Amino acid sequence: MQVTVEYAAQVKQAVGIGREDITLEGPCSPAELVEELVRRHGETLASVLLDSEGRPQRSILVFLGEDQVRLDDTSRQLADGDTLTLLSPVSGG
Amino acid sequence: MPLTDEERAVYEWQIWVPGFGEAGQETLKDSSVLVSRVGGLGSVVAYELAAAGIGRLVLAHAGNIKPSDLNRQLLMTHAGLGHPRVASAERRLKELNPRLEILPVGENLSEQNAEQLVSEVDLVVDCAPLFPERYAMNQQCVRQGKPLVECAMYDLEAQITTILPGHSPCLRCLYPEDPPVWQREFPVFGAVSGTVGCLGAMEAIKVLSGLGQPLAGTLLTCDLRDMTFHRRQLLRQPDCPVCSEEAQEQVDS
Repeated sequence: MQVTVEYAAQVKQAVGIGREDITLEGPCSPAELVEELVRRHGETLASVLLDSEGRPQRSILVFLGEDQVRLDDTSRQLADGDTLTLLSPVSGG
Repeated sequence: MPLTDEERAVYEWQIWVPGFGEAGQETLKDSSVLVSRVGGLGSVVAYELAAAGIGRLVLAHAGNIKPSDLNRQLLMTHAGLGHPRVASAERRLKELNPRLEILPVGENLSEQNAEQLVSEVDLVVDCAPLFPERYAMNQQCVRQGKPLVECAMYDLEAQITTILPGHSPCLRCLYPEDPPVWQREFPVFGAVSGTVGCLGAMEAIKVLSGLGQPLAGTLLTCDLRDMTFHRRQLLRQPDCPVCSEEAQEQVDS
């Protein structure tokens, strides 16, 4: 199946692209997709997505379609055509 | 408080808005708003609220005007370089609306002053760059039951939501921890901060006057590079240290 990943703010800056299509071989949760993205993009993405112990930072917002999802919610599985968005926190100034 | 003839004349065009009317204008006149920092976002929020006829503004922002403020902080001027930001903001706002009452505070929001400043107003607009001050504002708004409009930006991207305590996720639900990736200085255009500032002012006017539907529980994200807008649904954190029932009970006890 194929899913689309969208990156925003510092995550987009780290990866260098705004979106990409990812082909997955089997069932995949949002957390597993994030692990796969870190494998593909390496340290540049890990530095903004993961904490010092390699776990997803709790302040990264993750959306499946337009709905926020928690990466520790293992009941959610991606479906063909889904869009997952990774949004890093931003502020005023 | 009833409108004067002068106020009816000034606000005529918005009094024509269905669902707002003279009653909405009177509500704005009787309302007060805290704008936390009058920088790129807060300048435009404060200017739009002053134009709309808000009765009282509390403006909190430390420091003097720097050259790098002038691409987006529209209440600051070249002639004001080196002078206090809040003094420039107060002067510019009074030029537009001399009826407006302003409390200028020459310091940023913090855990030390948040309780007092939030207690002064009916609604808060968060335009601050640093998460510790945003968390202090959020905590006091939740405790005092005050609506909080959250404005944020980066590059050509904008984010905005409105926190209605008890009804929608709070800032700690969204960002449980001070994000290590966030940096104090970042790329942005004034037209981006101006866009978010106008949206934030509109949210404040809506919440105060009961007009339309605020973005409670919804994060509006805008990418002005390609003009993509999304309305994203947010989740409350059941174990939120600020707005969960357990956290509220601890405060009450």
